[in-house]
Formats: sequence, structure tokens, C-alpha cells
Amino acid sequence: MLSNATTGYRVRERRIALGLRQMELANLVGISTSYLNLIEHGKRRIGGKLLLNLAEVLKTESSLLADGAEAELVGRLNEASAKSETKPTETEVANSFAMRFPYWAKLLVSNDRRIRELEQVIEALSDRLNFDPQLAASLHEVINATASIRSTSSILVDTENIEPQWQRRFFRNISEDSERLTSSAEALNSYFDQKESDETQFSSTVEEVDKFLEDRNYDFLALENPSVEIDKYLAALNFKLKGTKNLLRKRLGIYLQDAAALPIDLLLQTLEDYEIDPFMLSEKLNISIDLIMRRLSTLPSELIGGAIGYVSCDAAGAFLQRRSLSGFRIPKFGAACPRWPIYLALQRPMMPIYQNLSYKAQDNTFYKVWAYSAVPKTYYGSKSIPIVSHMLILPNEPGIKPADVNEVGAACRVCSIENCDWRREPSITNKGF
Amino acid sequence: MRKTVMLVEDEPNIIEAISFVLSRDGWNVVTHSNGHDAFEVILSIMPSAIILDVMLPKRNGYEILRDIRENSKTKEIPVIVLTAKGQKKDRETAEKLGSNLFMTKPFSNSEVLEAVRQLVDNVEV
Repeated sequence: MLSNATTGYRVRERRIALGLRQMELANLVGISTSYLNLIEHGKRRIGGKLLLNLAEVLKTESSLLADGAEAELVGRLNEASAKSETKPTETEVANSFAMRFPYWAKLLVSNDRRIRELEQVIEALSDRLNFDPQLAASLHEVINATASIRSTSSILVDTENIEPQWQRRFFRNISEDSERLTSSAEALNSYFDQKESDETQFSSTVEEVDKFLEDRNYDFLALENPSVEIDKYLAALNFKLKGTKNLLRKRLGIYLQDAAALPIDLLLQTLEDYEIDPFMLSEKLNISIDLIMRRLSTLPSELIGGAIGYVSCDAAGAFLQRRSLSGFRIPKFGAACPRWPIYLALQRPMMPIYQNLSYKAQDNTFYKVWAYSAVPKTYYGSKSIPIVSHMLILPNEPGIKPADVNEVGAACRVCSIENCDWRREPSITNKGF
Repeated sequence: MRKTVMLVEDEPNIIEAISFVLSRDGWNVVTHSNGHDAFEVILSIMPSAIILDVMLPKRNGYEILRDIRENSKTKEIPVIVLTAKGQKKDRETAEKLGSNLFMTKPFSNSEVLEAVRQLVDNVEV
């Protein structure tokens, strides 16, 4: 019906543009005036010879009468107008506009799309403002200082014959606010440039624990000595965030369980004969893959022959543990690139996944990545063990490009991979952001 | 008789600037810089108009605005919300709570002055 109305509308528009009356056009094409009226109001289909005759008389192409503007363009125009407070008076206005002014219609649709994208960006930034008190406070300070400077400057400029004491006061105020503005801007700058090594800023206990482990190069071999009392060890430690110590206790508890199941001597002896490949090591040692991956991720790098990266996540995809690897950025906030095999492992529990990864931010750098998630023995009920997915990352030998490389980024927002079907949000690095 | 505008704002230099502008235009300006007892002061002074910041110590401007609108004595006093928080939801909150006008910082002195003049005149009419 829509296409009938559209075609009929085009016929009518074209007729009027040529200065023809309905009766004249109807006579020229050999149909009754009333029939033409039905056509123009979308009540009758036209096609075949009649369409060709009408097109000839109206000095246009039949395809333009029948197809007209692309349906998608018309649809998008209607979407754009849906958000407007005023509405078009006729249902076919969008189609008429698209047909008569295709360039402007496409431009309008393109601008509307851009507006929607920017609205999403603003919403995302607003969310950040709402949930980041430090950022909100700094911005508030900047805005207030700016408001004061603006207002005070206007007074000085606009007030004729201002009393000297007021003038001095306002100059002083501007000076004070300028200093505040400078400090606030510097604080914001520092906030955004904050280095990961800054120990004073932890957004979570997970982050503080990861930092603690990293600072000690993951060397906790001394704790594997049965004579060491973990509680005494922990009692001597101080942390910034409440809850960090408890989380560390839990992590070290798992570490010691893993150490008991796979003593360091056995692991190192096995590594002499076999390279670091958690799937192969699991088979050789008859120990679960996730234990092997955890064990490897909590050993000093020099002991295992070099740098290693590791990340684990829960069933919701939230990171539980991070061991950073130079060049392979693991996001601090939010989810990582959905192409990471750690997420694939969540969907395919008990299936070892190996991939060669190319990290978009690092050209010609490749990584060997193993991912695995285990199905807990007890899945239902109050005693179910949470599902955890693990990903171990090793840098590949330099200069060697492996086959079947999966190209990934760190996170969509900062990833420059174009035309990625997995992208969930625009990237600030892409043109036209 | 000079009409009174009450300015509830905690930024001293902004207080000074707005007070200067309004005073020069013939308004009597009363300022208050914390949210804790701002409503009680409003109740005692009964200003012709109120310029109300949102981010105030002890109590925020929205809570004060709610008190103003719920009290039979103060509910008709025109209120201009003047805030650094200029997001759409802040505007909607202010309007829902009954602000007459929502202005964001940084602001123009002439716009604030014009807003006060119009709101007080409209109330009188």
C-alpha cells in the first residue's frame, strides 16, 4: 500500500509540476479522471503499460515513478522527524522530499545519524561524570571558576565608572579564580594521564591486589614453605582499600592450593623438557588446565623464561585477575575486546582454545594465547562453584608472523580496527568520531 | 521600596559578582552560602525571587527547592536554579521540582538580571 501511495503521489507531484489538470492527464493516457484520482491517492496499483504511458506523458522515467526514492532513505527521514516536536502534515511528505531533493535528504539523514552518535557519546561521558566522583568534583571546580571569571570580567568591562575599590576587588577575584582554574585543569590533566604505577589511586580491591602481586614480580615461592604462616604474613601488610587484604588472602589461598597440587620443582623440571603450553602441560602432568594456567600466571617471569600475561574473568565477563604483559593492554575498566578468546572460552567450557593474536595497537607483534574455562563439578544449588575463564598470553618470537592470526584490540572505545562486526561502541581513534 | 533577591550560592566570588550586578540594578540582595538552613532564612526574609545553586554544603539545592514549593508561604516565590550541573536530567529534575528557570554556569550577568526582572514582574502581574 505504501508503494501505491508513493507512486500515486509521485504521479500527482509530477502532473502538478507540469501544470496539467487531472482531466488532461487522464485523457492523454486514456483513462478516466476518477481512475486517475484513485491512482494519485494510492487507492489503485499501476504498472505495465499504464505506468509507461504515464511516464511518457509526464516526461519522466517509469522507474522514477515506481521506485522513486529509496525506501531506506525515506525510512530514515521518518526516523529523523519522529524526534521532532512538530510533525509533517502529510504521511507522504518524507517520500516527496526524498524524491525531489535526494541530496538534501541524504545530507539530513547523515546529520541525524551523526547527532545520534554524538548523543550516545555524551550519554557515555555523562555516565562517567555521574559515577566518577573525582572527575565530577574537578569539573565542577573548573566550571565554577570559569563562571566567576566570566561574570567578574563582564562587570569590569560593562560597568562605567566603577569605583576603584570594586575594581581592585574584582581584579583580585579574577586572579584567584584564574589560579583555581589552573589548579583544577592540572588536576584534570593528571587524572586523565594517570600512570598505572600510581599507588595512591586504586579504583578497586582487585586492582590493588594485582598491583601488590606485580610489585613483587609474582614471587611468593617463600610462602610455599609449610612453616610460613599466611595470617602473620598478611598481618604485616597495609593496603589503601578496605577489603584488599581479604581478597589477597583468598588469592594466596588458591595460590597455595595450586602449589600443593603442582610443586614448583615438578613444574620447572617439566618446563625444561616442554615449552610453556598449558594444554600440553596439563596432559603431561595430568593436572587440570585451569590450575596450570593459574600456576604459570603466579610465578616470577625469570623462573618461567620470560614475561607472561594472564587474565581471568567470571561468567559475566568481569575481570577477576590481571597480570599485565608489556604491549598487550588489559583494560582497567569495563570489558575488553569481545574478540579475545577468553570470552569464547566462556561459551565453550572444557574446550581448550589456542589462538595467535595480533594486537592492533602494536604492529607486527604477535602473541600466543591459550584460553580455557572449566565447568564446575557442582553447577546448581547453593554450593556451586563459579565459572571462571582463563587466558594466558605469551609474546611470540620476534620477526615471526604466525598463520591464522586473530586481530584484536584492547577495548572498542580505543580500538582502531575498522569494519569490525564485534564492535559495540564507536572508537575515539576513528575518523569522524 | 527595593525588592529582595535571595542568592543561595557557596562560591564567594560568584556571590560577589551577582550581588554587584543586582544591587546596581536596584535590588536588595541577601546571600546565603550553605544549604543547611537556607530554607529557614528564605522563610524569614520572603524574598521576591531566589537564585538557587544546586551543589551546596550540607544540603543540595533540589531539597531546598522542594521545601520552597511544599510550603504554602513560599511556594509562589519564583526560583532560578543556577548550576554547574547542566545535564538534561538536571534540568528535568529542576523543572519537576518547580523551578521557574534553569540556568547553567558559566552564565551571562545580563541573562541573570533579565531573568530576575521578568520573573518578579510576572509574579506581580
